[in-house]
Amino acid sequence: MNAKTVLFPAVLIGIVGILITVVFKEGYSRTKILFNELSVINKNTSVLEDRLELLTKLTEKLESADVTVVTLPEKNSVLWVLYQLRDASVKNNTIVSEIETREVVKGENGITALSFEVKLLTESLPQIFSLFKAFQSSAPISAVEEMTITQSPANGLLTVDTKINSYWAEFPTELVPLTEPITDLTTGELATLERVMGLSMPNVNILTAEPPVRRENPFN
Amino acid sequence: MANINLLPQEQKASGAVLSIGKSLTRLVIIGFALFAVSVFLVIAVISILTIRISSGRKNYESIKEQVIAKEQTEQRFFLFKDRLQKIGSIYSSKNIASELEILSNVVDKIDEGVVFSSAALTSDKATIEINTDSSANLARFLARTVQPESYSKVQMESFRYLPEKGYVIEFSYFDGTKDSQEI
Repeated sequence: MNAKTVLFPAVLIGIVGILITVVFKEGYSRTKILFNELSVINKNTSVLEDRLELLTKLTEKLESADVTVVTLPEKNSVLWVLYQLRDASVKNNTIVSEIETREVVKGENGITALSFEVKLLTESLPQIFSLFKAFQSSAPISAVEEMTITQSPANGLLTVDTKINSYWAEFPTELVPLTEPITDLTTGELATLERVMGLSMPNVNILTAEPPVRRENPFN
Repeated sequence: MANINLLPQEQKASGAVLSIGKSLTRLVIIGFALFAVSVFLVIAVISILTIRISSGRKNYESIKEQVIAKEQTEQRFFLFKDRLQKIGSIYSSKNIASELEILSNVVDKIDEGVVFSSAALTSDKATIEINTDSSANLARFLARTVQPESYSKVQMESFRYLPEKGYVIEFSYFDGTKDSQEI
C-alpha cells in the first residue's frame, strides 16, 4: 500500500516532466525557425523598401545618365577622341601632323584603354595650353599621359609629341539581386558627375531619312 | 462519524507515506497545469509568428512587384553608377593635367632675355629647358618662378654654358597636390 501511494504520482510526475520537456524542446526549435524566417522576410522587405524609395527619387538624377555614357562609351571611342582633338587643334591654329595608334590595354575593372601618339605643330605655347585645356574638358574621356614640346631654333615652330589614352568599357550585364541593398551615389561619384557635366559633348548631326529624289539627266 | 477501515492494519499506509503521496499528487496537478500552460504558450507564439510571416510575405511580394515595375529605372541607375565609378577611376589614373598647368604658370613668367627651349611632361613632373645669354636674366627668371605655388618642389636638373646659346638650364617642377596625396 505504501509503495502504491507514492509510486503512482511519481510515475505521473515523470510523464508530465517528459511531456513538458518535449513541448519546450519542440516549441523552442519551431519558434526559432519561425523567428529566423520572419527576420529574413523583414530584412528583405526593408532592403526592398530602401531600393524602392531610392528608385522613386532617382528620376531627376538619371537625366544625366546619357552624358556619362557619351563620356565613357561601350565601344572604342578613339574616333570621337580624335574628332575632339582635331576640333580643339583647329580652334587653336595647330596642325595635327601625325597620329599613330599603339596598344589596347584591358584593365581589371573592365575599362579598355587604347593609347595613341600624336604629333602637333604650332606657333606658340599658349595655343598648346589652350588646346589641351579644351581637349581635356571634352567627352569622351581621355587622358594625356606624356608630352614633349620642342621649339625649333630655326623657325621657332613648336613640335608637340604626346601620348594620349582613350577609354571605353562594356555596360554592366547583371543587376544586384533583390535581397542585396543598393546605395545612392557617393560623394566621390557626385563629384565625378559634376565634372562630367562640365565636359563639352561631341556634335552629333542626326540625318533624317528622306524619300528618294528623281535626278535629272544632265545629258538631255 | 467514526472512521471505518476494513483493510487489515498491516496494509494501511503510514501517515508519512500518505503525506508524501499527497504532496506528489499536488506536484502532478501543478505539472499538468504547467504542461497545459506551456502547450498553450507554444501554440500561441507559433500562431502569432505564422500570421506575421504570412503578412510579411504578402508585403514583401507587393513591394517586390513595385520594384520589378521600376526595373528600367534600376537598370539605368546601375549603368549610371557603373559609368561614374569607372570615369572616377580614369580621372585618378596617370595624366599630366596638373603638370600642364604648372608649365603654363612657368611659361607665363618667362620674360625678355629668357628663351623657352623644350619641355617634357610626365605624370609626376614638368621639366622645362630654357636658355639665356646673361646671368642677370637667369636670376630674374629664378626669382619669378621659384616661389611655392602649385608645385611643391623645384629641382635644377642641369646647368650648362654653351657659347652659341648662352646658359642652358633645365628645371623640374613637382606637383604639390600629388605629393600631399601620396603622403
